[in-house]
Order: sequence, then structure tokens, then C-alpha cells
Amino acid sequence: MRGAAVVLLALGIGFAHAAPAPDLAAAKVAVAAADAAAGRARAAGDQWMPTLAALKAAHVALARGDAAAAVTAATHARHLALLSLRQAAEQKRLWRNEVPRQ
Amino acid sequence: MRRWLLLLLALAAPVAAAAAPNPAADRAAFQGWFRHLFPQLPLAKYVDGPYNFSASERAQWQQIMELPPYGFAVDHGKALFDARFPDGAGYASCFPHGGIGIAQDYPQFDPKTGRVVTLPIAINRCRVAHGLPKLKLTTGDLADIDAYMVRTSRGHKIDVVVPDTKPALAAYEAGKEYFYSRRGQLNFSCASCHLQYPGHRVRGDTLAPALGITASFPIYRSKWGNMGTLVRRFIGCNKNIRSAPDKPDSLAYRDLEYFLTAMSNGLPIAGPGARP
Repeated sequence: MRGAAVVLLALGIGFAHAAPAPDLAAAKVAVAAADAAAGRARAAGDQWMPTLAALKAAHVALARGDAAAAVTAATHARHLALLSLRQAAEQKRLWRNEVPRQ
Repeated sequence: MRRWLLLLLALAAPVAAAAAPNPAADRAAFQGWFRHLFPQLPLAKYVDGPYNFSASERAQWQQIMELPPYGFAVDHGKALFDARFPDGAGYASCFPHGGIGIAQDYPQFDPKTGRVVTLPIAINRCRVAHGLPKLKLTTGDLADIDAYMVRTSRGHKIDVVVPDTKPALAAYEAGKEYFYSRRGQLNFSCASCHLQYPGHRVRGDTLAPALGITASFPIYRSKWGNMGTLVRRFIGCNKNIRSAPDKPDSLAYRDLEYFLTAMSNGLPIAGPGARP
């Protein structure tokens, strides 16, 4: 049992090392996706400042050739933009709940 | 079948009527909400904003007002207002009553452009009409001219008109939606602070009630160390809740100012003001 666990662990480490680092092409795709999501958030009138900060970090990382950092920041930016889009969509209906009534 | 259709129509009519923009009814509900929150506070006192809720801040403010920090801005604004343009005209030529005592009538809806025009935007329009470049809408010379014009309107009751036309009501409704919509990473609306928690503290600041909040602008804010227009404050609020601010002359801020000021109709102009 213990031996099997050690083998599995070793295989796991092997796989972790084998995971390919993102290349610049993949980083460009990730940054483009984040740009698009942020654009939709802007169009919806609900852009978050942390989205812009993460997007900027992604572009900076891409410009210096750090694909891994670019993908991480772009993914973060895209997720924030998607959250703000969800917020904007929900608020189209929910804002009326905050209006005082006589 | 026809009877059913008539019945459905009859049921739908009141719903449609309730959804139609009604600034007068909104204002009654808005002001009623604050009267419910603070039954002892006279309506006209709301223009004092946060100073209604903290005796110590009020005492400090009263001392500050012995030599108002916006005094230099008003003087500078008057000098700019009185100066002639290269074509010989002046700001007075662009406004009714020579621009004196008119701030209570702004913002206005311009049917020609289909846009809301705030007083700072009207000042810039005047400049452009006389061949001068626009001024920055948030601070500086424009805020000083605004301060002078508002100072000449002090005590006049706010009287923002929302014409009963589709474009004007749409602008009003857009401002209303903006005010009540949560936004930014912190998921706050304008109403979250200034309608639901006026008088409470957010870190070092006491939250001002939305009612009467526009009456003191432009303001000299100690944090800024100079004058700022209402749009400058909107931008600051947006940043505080991690929402990317709009441009100072955006439709969003114009409409927001339109709605917010219309809710304070009947309250006296108290600007320019001084805030922490």
C-alpha cells in the first residue's frame, strides 16, 4: 500500500513537471479573450477597476515575453470582467428593489 | 375570446402606468423616505449634509465657515466670469439674467441635443460658442466659475424641470437607474450609502444623505485641497467602490446629476460648500 502511494506520488510529480508552460501564442489568445470580456463589460457600463489593473498586468507581461504571467493575469482579468457582466445583467432587473416607495 | 383580451388589457394598464417615469411621485417617495429616517430634521437642513449627524464635525465646520475655504475660488470665479472673451462677449451673455442667480435651474434637458446640460457643461458650451476651448469639468477655473455662479444663487430653491417628453423622461430614468444600480467590485450603488446609510460612518467619513447632496456643490474638500464639481465627486465615489469611472461629460453622469438634483427640488441652494 505504502509502496503504491510512493509510486503514485512519483508519477504525479512527473506529470506536474511534464505540464507544458504556456507559450506566447497561448498567452496572446488569453489576453485577447480578456480584452474582449473587458470590452463587453465596458459596453455594459460596469467596468471594474481591478479588471483594468489585471488587464494592464497581462499586457505588460506579454510585452516582456513572460507567457506564464500573462496567462495568469489575463485569466484573472477575464474572470473579473465576466463577474461584472453578470452584475450588470442582474442589476438591469434588481435596481428597482432599492427604490423607496410611498 | 374578445372579453378575455379586454380583461387582460384592463389588468395590464395599471402595471404600465406604474412603470412609466413619474418624477413628481419619485420625489415624494424619495423625500418621504428621508422624513421617515430622520423625522426631526427639517427638509431645508439636508443641504448641510454630513454635518447634521455629528456635533463635533458641525462645530468644526461652523468655525471653518467663519473664513470659508472656497472664498478665494469664488473671487477668482467672479474675475473669470466678468472677463471679456476675445470677441467682446462674456459668460453673462450665454445665460438668462446674465448668469446671476440661476444655478437652481440646472441641470436642464436640452431638446435640441437630446442631452442633459449641467451648469459646468453650460459654462463650457458658452466658451465653445465664443471660440474658446473647453475647461476641465472637474476642478480648476471651471469649478471656480461654477462656485461664483452658485454663490449668486444661494438660498434659491432648486427647481429642476423634467419635461414630459420621451427623451427627457428617458434621461431622467437613466439617471435613476444609475443611482440605484449596484456596480463595481464592492457591489455598491449610490443608494447603498447615501439612501440606506446616511449619517453612518464609512471609515473616517460620515455619509451624507442623497437628499440635498447636490445643493452644496461645487465644494472645497479638505481632502482635495481645492474646489471640485459634482462630477469630481461622482468619479471619486466610483473609484471607492472599485468601479471604473465614466468620462466627466458622459451621459451617465449628466443623467445621474439630473435625477439626483430633481429629487432635491424645493431645497435651497447652499453652495459652494466645504466638506472634510
